[in-house]
Amino acid sequence: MQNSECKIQNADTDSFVATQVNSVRSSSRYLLAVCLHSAFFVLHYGATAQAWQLIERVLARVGTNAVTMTDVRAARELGLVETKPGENPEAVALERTIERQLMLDEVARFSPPEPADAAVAEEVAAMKLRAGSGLDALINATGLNDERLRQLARDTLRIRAYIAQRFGMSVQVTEDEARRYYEEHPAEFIRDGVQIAFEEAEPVARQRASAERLRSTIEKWVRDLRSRSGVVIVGGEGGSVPPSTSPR
Amino acid sequence: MRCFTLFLVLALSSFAAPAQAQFGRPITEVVLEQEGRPVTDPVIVSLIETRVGAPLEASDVRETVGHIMSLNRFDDVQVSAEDAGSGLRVRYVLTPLHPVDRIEFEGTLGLPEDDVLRAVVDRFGNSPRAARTPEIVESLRMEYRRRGYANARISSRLVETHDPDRATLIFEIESGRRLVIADRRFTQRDADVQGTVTELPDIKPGQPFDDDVIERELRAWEDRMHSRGFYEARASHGSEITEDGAIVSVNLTRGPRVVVRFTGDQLPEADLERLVPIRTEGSADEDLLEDSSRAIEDFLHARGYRDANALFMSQEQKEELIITFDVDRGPRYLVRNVSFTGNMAVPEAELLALIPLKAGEPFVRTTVAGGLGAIERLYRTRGFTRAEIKAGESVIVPENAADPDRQTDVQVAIAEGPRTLIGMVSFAGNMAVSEPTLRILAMVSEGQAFSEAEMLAARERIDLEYRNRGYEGVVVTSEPTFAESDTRADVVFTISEGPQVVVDHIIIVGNRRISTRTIQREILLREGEPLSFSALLESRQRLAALGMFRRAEVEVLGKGGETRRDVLIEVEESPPTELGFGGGLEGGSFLTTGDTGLAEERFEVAPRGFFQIGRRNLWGKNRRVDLFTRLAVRPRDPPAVSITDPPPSPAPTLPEDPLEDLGGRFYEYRVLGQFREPRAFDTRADVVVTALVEQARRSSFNFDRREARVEAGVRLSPIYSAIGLYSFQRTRLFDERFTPDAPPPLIDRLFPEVRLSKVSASLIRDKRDDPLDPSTGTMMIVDGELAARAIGSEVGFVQTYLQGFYYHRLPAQRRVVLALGARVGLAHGFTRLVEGVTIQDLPASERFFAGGDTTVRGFTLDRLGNEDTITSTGFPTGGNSVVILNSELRIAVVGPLQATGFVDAGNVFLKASDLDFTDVRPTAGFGVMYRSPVGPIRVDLGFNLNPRELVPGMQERSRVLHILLGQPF
Repeated sequence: MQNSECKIQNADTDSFVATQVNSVRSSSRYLLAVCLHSAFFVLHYGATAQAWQLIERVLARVGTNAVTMTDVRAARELGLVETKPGENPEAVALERTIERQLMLDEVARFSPPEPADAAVAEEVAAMKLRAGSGLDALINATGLNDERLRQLARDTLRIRAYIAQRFGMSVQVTEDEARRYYEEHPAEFIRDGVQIAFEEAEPVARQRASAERLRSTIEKWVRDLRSRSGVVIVGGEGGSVPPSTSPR
Repeated sequence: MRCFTLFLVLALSSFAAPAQAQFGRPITEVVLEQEGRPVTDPVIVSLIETRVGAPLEASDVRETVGHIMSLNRFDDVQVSAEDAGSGLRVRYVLTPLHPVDRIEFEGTLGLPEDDVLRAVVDRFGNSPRAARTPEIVESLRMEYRRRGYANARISSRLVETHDPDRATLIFEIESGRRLVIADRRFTQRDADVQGTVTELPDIKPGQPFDDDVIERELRAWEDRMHSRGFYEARASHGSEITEDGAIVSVNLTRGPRVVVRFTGDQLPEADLERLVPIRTEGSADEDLLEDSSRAIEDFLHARGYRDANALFMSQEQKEELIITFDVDRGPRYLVRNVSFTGNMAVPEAELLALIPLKAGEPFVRTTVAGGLGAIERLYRTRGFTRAEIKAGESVIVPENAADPDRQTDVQVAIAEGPRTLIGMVSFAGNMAVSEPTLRILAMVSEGQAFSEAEMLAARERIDLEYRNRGYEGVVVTSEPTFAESDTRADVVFTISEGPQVVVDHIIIVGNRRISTRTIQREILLREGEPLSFSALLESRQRLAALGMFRRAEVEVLGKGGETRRDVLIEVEESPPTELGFGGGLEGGSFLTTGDTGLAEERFEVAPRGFFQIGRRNLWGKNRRVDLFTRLAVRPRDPPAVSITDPPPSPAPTLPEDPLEDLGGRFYEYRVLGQFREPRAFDTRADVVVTALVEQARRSSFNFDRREARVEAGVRLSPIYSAIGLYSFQRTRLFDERFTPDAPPPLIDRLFPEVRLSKVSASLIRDKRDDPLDPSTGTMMIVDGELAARAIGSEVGFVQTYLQGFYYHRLPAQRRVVLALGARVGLAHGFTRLVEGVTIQDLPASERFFAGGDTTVRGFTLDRLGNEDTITSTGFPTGGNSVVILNSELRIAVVGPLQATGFVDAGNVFLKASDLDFTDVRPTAGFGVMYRSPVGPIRVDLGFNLNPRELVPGMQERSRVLHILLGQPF
């Protein structure tokens, strides 16, 4: 900083000016040194504070089961849960993983038939395909092994079998319901820029209305499961590491 | 420039590769933290899968998190890693759950605290989740509004506690002003039809508004109306909150006054209410009337009135509903004969046993139907899968038309059909269990009769075997294929095994004083071994049987589908110290010395008290130490006086009586200290060390005893136990009720104080259903005892005592138990020369005595005997052999009251060789028993069926009253 009022008590004004110039030069160097050292300290200690790397934590509790960070990552990258474009993938994946756990707990109460080994192997292959080139990194980060992959595949097949048994593969819909679907989703029945007639579109409209009804029935079921169970989303910033209090 | 360069170098070096977890790198340190403190709990530490020196694996981290979370004690577990030079430092930060274990209220509640707490607990439980607090606050607000506090202010806060980690949920309530009823409006829905209700519920303006109070008053009004026959009276209410208070609107329905009448054949008065429950149900709707009609008909059918009907009619008159049941019983049908046709494989006698209808009994169709069902099941189990059983009935018209009864023949026609035998038995889908093993389990073989019941039992046996091997998802089905005109069935058992579940970690929590090893010993599950269903069940039973825990739970954690599951054993220890004390009165007939010096039976009541203190779970094991003390104060029996010598003149000074200054009282006491070591020295035996000091009164003498003993008991099987015992004791007799004319046995004169060192063994077989009050089963005990001079005894003898008891519940509507008992004791003294005199007898404290409330009840305590064992003054000396026979009927009367009738017989003989089963003295009697919470309390009156004159000029008492706690045998 410069003090324009700073004067060296010297009758020689030239000396005063020279002193002022020298002062300015010294101050600038001092300033630069302070800035650089400050930046150094900030960067050094800031980086040091990030030395602890969070590798696992609990994101939610479903009854006595924990849904962890790696669970959600595995579920998302293996395609066990779906996220749509535009959605927050982390938050949605967590919700879907919670729902998957709720469904598994419900399925376990009724002990559906064990899936065949061939079906399990096929599902494992499908999961690996969905993970694609990121499979190795996923395995490294989450500790997945063949046994765990088989277990995840088996769980998926058990859920599917239970849902098929409980809700069926399709739901009967009336003509009115099919027509309502046709009227509410006109874009799905456009051919050559023109909406096809209902009579022609009816089979497809029925099928899609049935699928939608089945989907909403299953969603309601999952909502009921959630309302009955003790799901707790664990608080705290995902990804921040709590400060260490133990001496190194 | 130099500074800048230096900065760049330093900044880049510190910015180089952020310390990220590199799986596969070795772990140099593992840190556990909870709320800023290191965690040293060995339970938590044992669950950490990441180990120092091993590479960091993501699977180990995930598994550790899963283990810790399954304890249900933590809200979150965060795992982080830091570069530590040559390896990684791994840190686990645990955030504990603070479950709510207390709910408190502060402020001005306005309502009783119990009511407010109940409003929370009824809906949210005793330990609501903290996350539901807003819901609880809203629920409380609604409750307060309902109770008249429309403006109650309610807030909450959670106070966490540590060690253990819990939380207290505190509600701050300011109830505010309570509303009053500003107005009430009654509306009677059926006034124009039923007339106006004159009596209204007591709800008045000015009363505090309280929904509960209003509800109670409306229910009371309904009850009052019901009691006057207006069974359909109903009341409901609504309320509106205004600035001035609450406006209560009450809707009333009076309904008609219901009158029930019966015409035609009469029904028993005592059954009317049950058959036509209009009053108790508070309804006269059509469904209830139809049910009542059916109930009456069923009632009569069950008594042989096959054609009975009970039609009802409802008639509405002014403000009344008259319901009339017209009962027509019709004739009564009695069974004359039951016959069978078509039965080739099953004899008629066997079929008759399944139809519980005898000639002369009422003919009841439901009984016949039940019998047909039983016959069909019998045929099915014998392989007749197509058997058809039908019954017909022929009614014999009576000669006398006025005869109200009809004789009925029942004809059962059986079409047996072919008998199906099992052909080939095969198994599919089994990998873990071999076919030979499955065949043994199924117990189904070629040539055996085919039955579905057997197939089911076979499937269940196979299923259990798989579950015991950890295959919790196993599904076993069986499919028969019939051939050769249904005479052959080939059976295929298909098994879908599913994955095998193995025990991962066994986690024990909750124990503070009890060592983990003590608990582990009872757990039959092992880490790394299959999760066995039976082992899990038995582990739970064994933990409960320890008796050390108030609560002990064994839970399998983890999700279905996981093949490695943790087992969590959570215990809550019982209080380590037990205190007990009590007092009361003991009543019974005892022998005392009469004025003439002869034995007299006198009923005495003596105050009695006890105190005991026990400490369990010592030094981590189920060890136990107890101190038991008991004291009773009895009148002291004066010393014996000779009946032949005339009283000397002047009267001799009585011997110094140490108790004389205590008012002639005798203190009977017992002080017992005991130490119990279960599974001593890691064996199956429980060892008990006892030290005993007692002073007691018997019929012929008093005694004091000091004893130390060690016993070891082992349960050989669920019904067999064995006990070995060593005892060292010193017994002193005093105040003997003997005279020179009726002296005590020689051994007692030579050894008024005797030292005994003896060993004994017992074998017990106990198959009773209840040790306190058995109704079925048997119990047998064999005792043998040896006292020898070689091991320090002053007197040597051998003694054996055999006991057998049988209990059988008789087939009767009430509980009637037949109890039988037999006891035989034999003893033989070893010969010994004392002061030139040869003795071969047992000291008084070891001889057999009988008579009293637990042996032969027609006699006072110890008074049973013959001329050899009862002195001329009437005091018993005991004998070397005894036989006691008991028989009793225990009949439940009402509730906890029971009546008994008994016949006892027995005798005491001087020598073992004198034992004579034909020389038993009979008694009989009766009594009552009350099954109190502490056990049966009995009062028995026994009658001596053959009183004798063992004392010249004095007949034995003919009856004796006994009071005791517990059953006599």
